[in-house]
Amino acid sequence: MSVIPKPQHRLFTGLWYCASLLCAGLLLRAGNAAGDASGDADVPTGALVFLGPDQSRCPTGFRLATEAAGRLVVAVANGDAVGKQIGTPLDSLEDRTHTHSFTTTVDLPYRSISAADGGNRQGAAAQRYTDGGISAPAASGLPFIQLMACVKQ
Amino acid sequence: MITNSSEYLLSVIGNRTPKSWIVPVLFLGIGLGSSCSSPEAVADSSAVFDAAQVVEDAAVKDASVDAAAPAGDSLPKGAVSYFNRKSCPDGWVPFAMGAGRSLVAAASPAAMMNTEGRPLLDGEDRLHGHTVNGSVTVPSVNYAGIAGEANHGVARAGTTAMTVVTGSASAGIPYVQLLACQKMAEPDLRQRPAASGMLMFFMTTECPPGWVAAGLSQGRFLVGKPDIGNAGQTFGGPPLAAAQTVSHVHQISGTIKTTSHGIALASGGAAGNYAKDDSHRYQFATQAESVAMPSLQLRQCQKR
Repeated sequence: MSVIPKPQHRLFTGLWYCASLLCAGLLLRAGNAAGDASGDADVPTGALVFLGPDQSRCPTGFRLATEAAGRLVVAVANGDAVGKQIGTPLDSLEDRTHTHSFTTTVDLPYRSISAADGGNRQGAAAQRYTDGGISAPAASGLPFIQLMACVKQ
Repeated sequence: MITNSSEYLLSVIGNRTPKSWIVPVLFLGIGLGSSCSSPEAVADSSAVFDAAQVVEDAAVKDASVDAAAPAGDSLPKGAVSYFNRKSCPDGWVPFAMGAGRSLVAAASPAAMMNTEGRPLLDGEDRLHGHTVNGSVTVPSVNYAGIAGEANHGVARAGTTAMTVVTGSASAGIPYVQLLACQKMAEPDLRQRPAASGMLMFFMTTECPPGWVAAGLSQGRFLVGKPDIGNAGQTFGGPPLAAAQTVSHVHQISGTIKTTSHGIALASGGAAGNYAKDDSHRYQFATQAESVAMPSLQLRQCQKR
């Protein structure tokens, strides 16, 4: 014969079940937090990451960043500027060179001589001379490394 | 009529089948466990443990909404990353310091936060020019006469300075503009960790736990591997030092073709040092100049 009134017995049993289930939930969650991560958001969607020199494939959940192939990345703070590409992509290990146009001017000064003008044309006239052209190509001198670039999908 | 929380609890337990309240309570437990997984949440959790309130909350919430649903990402606080998206994700803020610059792995703690050049404007193809100090040397001829006044028609032989003007040019270094954001939120440890081998910039002098300082990429601009080619290969100049402006020079060469001036004297003799009429080659280098590719050096770390 029970000495506990029925309503109180039901309350005790109910609280006991609740406490047990709460503990079970806590244990389940603790298991995940201990290393069994449930989410796949290692990095946010859209993140472009480079991989170490020994990496040749994008991780699971990433795509190859074709937008950065043969290109540096320049940071912007304005969303409307995102994705804009400038210049022609580099080939593999291409140390891009460039040239400059130039003009030269030289004024050859005179040297007096006690003579009239005549037929001996071995001497150069004292006057301004100009020339121009294109410089020899040169690389920027900047150091580069080409790496796998991947975007989180 | 329900007059207090105990009566309410009894009514909930007594009037419902087990299936109707087991799931909400179980999920609530999972949710509480999640909150307890971070140190910050521990301090706040004590207020939640009121049995009546727990049941009431569980009854109000939709049990189908997983209270432990992952949010955020697992990257450490202080991470700086590029994004191909219009705005920074939750927990991240725009990295204004890097705007208009390419991020470069600092070769040493002393190089951290070093900037080089002015930031690029949107879509700017940065130009640069060179100053040049050049000259041309003209050999001499002699005349059978006397040097002196008053014919000024013939030039003096020797070396004469030239004025050289170079046009501005782009270095042709291609780039893509991407949003840069800095992570301000703590890592969400419910998310899977970053993939091994991933590189990430950080606003910290040391790499976070689980990350090591990047090696080969230090002091180098990062280029996305082209379709053809191997990853991990370096090219160009030597790695950047802490405070270093990288420069380059160009070779300039050409010919000055003079015009002749006739003199009524025979060649040879004592009157010398007159410029010879001919084509005179010149060659020299420009002054060193930077292509002005703006950079910001940050700590770069690689996930173990």
